[in-house]
Amino acid sequence: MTGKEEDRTEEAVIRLDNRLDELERLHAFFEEIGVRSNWPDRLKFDMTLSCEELLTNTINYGFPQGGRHVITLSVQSLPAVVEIRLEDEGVPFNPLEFEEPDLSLDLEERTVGGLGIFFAKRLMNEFIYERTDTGNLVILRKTI
Amino acid sequence: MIIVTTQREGAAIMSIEGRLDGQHAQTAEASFLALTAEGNTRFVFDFSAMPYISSAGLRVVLVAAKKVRSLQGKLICASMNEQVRDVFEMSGFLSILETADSTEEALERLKA
Repeated sequence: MTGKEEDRTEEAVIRLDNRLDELERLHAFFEEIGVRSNWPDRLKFDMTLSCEELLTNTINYGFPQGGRHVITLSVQSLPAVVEIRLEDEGVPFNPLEFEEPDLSLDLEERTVGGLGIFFAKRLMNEFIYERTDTGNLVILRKTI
Repeated sequence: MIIVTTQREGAAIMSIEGRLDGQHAQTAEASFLALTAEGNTRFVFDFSAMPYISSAGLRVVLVAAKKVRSLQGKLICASMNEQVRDVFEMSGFLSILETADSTEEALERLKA
């Protein structure tokens, strides 16, 4: 029946520790799924950037108690849409409530606070946040 | 990511080779600050071998631009690829930073 369509579905999961050097594995992961799913360079860049921004936030602010924690990222690449699920067990943090950066300020007043989340919201078609029993879940969808 | 620094015509050229992301931003900032500590005030950031930048990388560029202004020096960002340029554009940074198409062009302008 829909066998042909299903053949074009790629799924992949990566579990990352809450350390910034895990970004190396994040990039390698997207390189690989990008090749397997025939993503154009632009799509690969946008997906990687959005995930790095959210992941960096979680790593830097999600675990004030310290210690090693795992963040799970799964990708489902369908012919018309890519869906990302990012799950952590960090402190409650809803990126959608984060204040948007003021892009009109001059050099002296500019900061990069909120810029990463702003990128992810701009680059994705859908950005969903859910507070789960154990942590946070962000679902990103990008229409191809 | 590695950083190659070249001194040319009175300017320090910092070439970022690789990704300027959350993992490497600290290293890049430290390299820049070391160059200012040595007395450099005129900079070219050469992005010709930098395929990717995130907000952590933009933060370093912003810190550098502010520092250079306080030193009454000059910073020009050169040779961004299309995707990197789009990230700068999205952030609104293109209107507060000086950019050039090549290191040569940046050096020309620093001389003026």
